[in-house]
Amino acid sequence: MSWSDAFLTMALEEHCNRQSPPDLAEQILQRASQQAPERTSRLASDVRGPRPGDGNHKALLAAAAMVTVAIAAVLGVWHAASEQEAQGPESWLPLQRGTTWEYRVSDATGTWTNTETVLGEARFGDRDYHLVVSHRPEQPQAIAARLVAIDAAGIWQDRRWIEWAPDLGTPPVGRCLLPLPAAPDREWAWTGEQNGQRIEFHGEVLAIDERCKVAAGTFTTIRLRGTTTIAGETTVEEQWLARGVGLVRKRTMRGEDVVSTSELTRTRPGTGSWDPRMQLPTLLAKSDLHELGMPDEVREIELGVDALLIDSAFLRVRHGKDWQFWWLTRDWLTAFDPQDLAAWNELITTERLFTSPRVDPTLGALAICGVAGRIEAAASGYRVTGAAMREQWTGAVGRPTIRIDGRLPMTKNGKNELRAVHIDVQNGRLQSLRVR
Amino acid sequence: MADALTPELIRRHQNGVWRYLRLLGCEPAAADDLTQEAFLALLRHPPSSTEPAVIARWLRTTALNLFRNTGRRARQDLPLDETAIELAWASHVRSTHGDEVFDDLEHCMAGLPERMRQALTVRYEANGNRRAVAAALDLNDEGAKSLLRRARERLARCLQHQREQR
Repeated sequence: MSWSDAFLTMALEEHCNRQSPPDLAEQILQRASQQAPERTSRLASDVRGPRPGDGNHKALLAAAAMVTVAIAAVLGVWHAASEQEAQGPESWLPLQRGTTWEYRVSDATGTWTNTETVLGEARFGDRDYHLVVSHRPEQPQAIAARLVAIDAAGIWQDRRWIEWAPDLGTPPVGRCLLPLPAAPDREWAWTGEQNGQRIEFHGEVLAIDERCKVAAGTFTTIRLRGTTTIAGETTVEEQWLARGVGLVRKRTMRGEDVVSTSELTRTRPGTGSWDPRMQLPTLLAKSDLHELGMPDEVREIELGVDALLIDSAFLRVRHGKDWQFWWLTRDWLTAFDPQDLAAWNELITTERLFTSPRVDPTLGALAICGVAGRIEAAASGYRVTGAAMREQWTGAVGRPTIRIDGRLPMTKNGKNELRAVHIDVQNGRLQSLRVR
Repeated sequence: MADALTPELIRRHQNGVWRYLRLLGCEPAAADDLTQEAFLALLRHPPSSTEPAVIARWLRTTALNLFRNTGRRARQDLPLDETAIELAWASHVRSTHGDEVFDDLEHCMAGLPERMRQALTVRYEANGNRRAVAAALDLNDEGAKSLLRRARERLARCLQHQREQR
């Protein structure tokens, strides 16, 4: 399902239900008359046509607010190239697990707090990336994630949106946020593609040693400007970054309009560790599963996926005689119980956490369900060893064909049963799944 | 000033904002509320340009942020990536309101084979599901799934053709 498919669904719902948009003009005007706006609007002139000099805003018409690809939160204070080299590129950013930044974000809809957290690490190719997720305190699910890497040549980032699980299925492109060593007037550029549209990015260092005062304190910063153009629309982001701290202030503009501002209110260094079992009570309270209460027994399933080390855990939990599989991340808890082909396929396609280039998604799903205990990349395909729950499955595993005949514990009508399972995967696609 | 929001301006844009919110995943009542909020935000923080397309874009960005603030799940749990949504929107809608899409849809639905039209109507009328389609058309689940998929594909092709004709 893409947004284009979703558009068709929305249109069909409106068409089939004769559910046209209502006329809200009177209600809006009534509410508007009760408000005292902050400044006089020019909107009355809109319906009479544009004013002279507004033609240059036509560039703003087309698509996307390129916040997704622009320079994002990172880095540290600029001192001097030699000093940077002496400190090492890693000194630009604190990226230990658990490091958090809190920002006060303002846009036309109001002001809110956004928190960014370093969740873990993932290795793609020859680079170690750090996974940083964004969320709002009142909404436990992360709303966006980015993979950040630092090396001697620069700071690299791939930003991606998430709702319920980080999409780590594709390797990061690693777009340059800032070439190192940073220097005044330094410029850089890249081009790319998103949703079939060409993206052009141009970055420049506007100032160094600029004092920047925000709620979290006063920092010596490097000021950057990133200009992103996609489908004729240009978005400009200015960022103030402090060494060893990260992003201190950000301002996003489209044309003459400031679309949003963001400033650091608090930051906390990470401890570098994370214990899923400690997280369970908090997440359970926020989850649909809270009615079940704390499990009588919790066993962590070892996945052994060496390509990915983010903070998530698969747990086999027991309430009385019933066993279930739960997946837990730093801010989310859910249950898995795929019992038919459709559920299995949905699991494979939606839970893309394990679709790194080195791990087949079906194998990831097998691991989630506890059929496979440990998955490792081997010279000729994959090697699957052990079984997380019971060592009662046998079969040959190798790319591109996987056939497993075994027994899988499943809960049905409150009863925990060990059921015979046959799984056939060819070319990475599930061909059949039979449960008896 | 309240009179800066004219009925003409609201009526030019309200259908587009409401449909955009429905696209994101709002139920109709929630779309009503958030559409109003978007216009009130426009009153408080108007963009510098007065071009209708800029205003429409501004309203959509604001609607998206308002939707995010509600914490609702997006349609089909799709990521709320403004770029992806905007590109999908721009590929279907040419006006500030999107009314032309529904004229095209009417035309394309009329051109579908009877069973496809019936399947889509059962599926999307009053939140019907695939099982209801299967029952209404005497199909099994896989048959209903396949028919719906082919009907949507055909409809999408027709809509694209209509857009290109405009």
